[in-house]
Amino acid sequence: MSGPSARLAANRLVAARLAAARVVFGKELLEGIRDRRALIAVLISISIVPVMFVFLGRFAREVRDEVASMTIPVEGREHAPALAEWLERVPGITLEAAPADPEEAVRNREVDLVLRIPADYGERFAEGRPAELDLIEDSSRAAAGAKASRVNTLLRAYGREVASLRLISRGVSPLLLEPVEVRRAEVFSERRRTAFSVLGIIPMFLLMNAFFGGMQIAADSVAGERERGSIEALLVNAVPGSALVLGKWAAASVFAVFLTGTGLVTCMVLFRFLPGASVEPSLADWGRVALTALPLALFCCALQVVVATYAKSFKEAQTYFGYLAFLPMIPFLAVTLNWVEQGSWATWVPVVGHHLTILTALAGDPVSVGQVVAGFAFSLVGAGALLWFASRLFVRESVVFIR
Amino acid sequence: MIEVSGLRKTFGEVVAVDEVSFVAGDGEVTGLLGPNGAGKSTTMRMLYGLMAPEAGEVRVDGIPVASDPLAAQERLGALPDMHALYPRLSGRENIGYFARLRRVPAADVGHRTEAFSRLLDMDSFLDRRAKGYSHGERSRVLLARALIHEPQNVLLDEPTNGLDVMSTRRMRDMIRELRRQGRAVLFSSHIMQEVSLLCDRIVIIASGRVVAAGAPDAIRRAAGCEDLEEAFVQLTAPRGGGPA
Repeated sequence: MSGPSARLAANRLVAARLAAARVVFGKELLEGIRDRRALIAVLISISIVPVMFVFLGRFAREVRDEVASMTIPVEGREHAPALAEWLERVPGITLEAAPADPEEAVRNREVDLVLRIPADYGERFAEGRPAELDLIEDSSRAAAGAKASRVNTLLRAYGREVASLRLISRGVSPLLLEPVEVRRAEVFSERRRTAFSVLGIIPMFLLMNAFFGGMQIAADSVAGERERGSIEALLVNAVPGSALVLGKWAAASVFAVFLTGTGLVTCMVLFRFLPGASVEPSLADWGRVALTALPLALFCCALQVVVATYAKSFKEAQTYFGYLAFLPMIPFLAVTLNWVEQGSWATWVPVVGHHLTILTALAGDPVSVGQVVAGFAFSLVGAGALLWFASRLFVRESVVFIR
Repeated sequence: MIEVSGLRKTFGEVVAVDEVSFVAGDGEVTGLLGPNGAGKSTTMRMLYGLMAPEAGEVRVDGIPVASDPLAAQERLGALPDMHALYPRLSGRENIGYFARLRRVPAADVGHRTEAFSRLLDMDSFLDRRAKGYSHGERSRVLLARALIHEPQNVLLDEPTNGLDVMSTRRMRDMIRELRRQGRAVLFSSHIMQEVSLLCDRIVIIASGRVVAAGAPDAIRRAAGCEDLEEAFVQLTAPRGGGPA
């Protein structure tokens, strides 16, 4: 007899707590919407992804287009007409007269590089001595560096061609010059190359939205409650700490999930306009990204609620959140600097693994179900554990009357 | 009814409250009187279950606060020492929030709020955001918010602190009205006059201990002086350090 009635009482208790949490949630959401600072944060978060795509697009276009079809400024073209003609026959290459002071022009970024042909080029060439060519470049710039290495490759090819002709004219096989022939087989597909160089930054921005979306509400509704002094009056209302924490977390989560989702959809839309993105993630790939990023937003909000519970003021909470902001940057750096890669142990490290899952899915590479599930489960279980901890912390005497 | 027996609370070396006992009965106004730092707020916090006493017990309508704080809180309404409105909500929304947390039926919230608005003269500002409220406006909304669930036991921690004459009067009228309704009202103050005007019983507390308790007349007699204020000074002066 006591069994069913005890269960009924327990159910009623849970229902009462959820009802109270819903009241807190509604109030915090209303206050959040009316908070100018929260709205500014939302606007910044929403605009960050399109801005990122503009820069990514420019970067990708510069690297690709400018190398594919390029103009080489040449000084002293008249000293090497044969070389100039040979270069101009290469598809996409045009020559132009170099500026008056090539070094200065390259330094000032007026041109990316200058090929200088010295006056004694013809003489040395005719005598069979190495004819010197100067390539003036600024290797500190990505696009200029790519151009310079292309010109360098072209000039070597010209040199080899001339050498072959000279050997043939002396009756020697040019094959003697090639004791080894290197054939390069690229296993890193073009898709993945684009993904890892150009798209590497996208997961970071998605994770940042997950981390920052609910920050304002978490700081204001948890630390701000104490700072304003409203917490004591709130806590005498016969509402358990778990209901208060749950409501506040849910309000922060609405913002975080909304902003992460918005970032995701913006990515989906802008992806096809990204130059050089031969990658076309399928709907299933986007689904994997969503299953990874959105629950992580719930986890981030729970983490922020715990952190804000320890903070005496809104400002103090924000200072702590500033340190949390490094979290989404760590996997980005680790992947970009090749410390970790997909499939290694790092796949199972929270946040790093989330980053890798998103990146791999965007690159169109297979992501194991286990990897997606692991990220998903970590987020939800982690959020639950943090909320449980926060519930106990929130009503603790030493925390309520923190000094 | 609130029954307090043998309360003790220390913060490190400092004994904030020691062996405090009293009863605040239904239909009575009980004043907790003492100078600043006497332990009034700490006592109050133990009464509404935000601080755990190291010794002693508090019962609200017979429910022990220590073992069942939520059930005890159901029976009381409080205006704690730290109290603030939510600045981005209007006065009405502030009251409504607590009413919903207290599970006051939605149908009752409206007319109760109107009744408070009439009683405390809040019509002109109740729908404005609380951010711009004057001190007096804020305190009226806070009071209505603390009482919206019509609690049997009312605890007010220095409710008239910093209020002007008119607001103080309104507060007094409100407290008398609560007594008329048969509720147990306990309020703390460091102002003798206020307590003597309102209270049926006075508990004087100094350095964390009860130094006198009873009806105002009884306290006058115990201190051996006609003037209640003089009695207060006598009773709360540090032992041995008072004027001869």
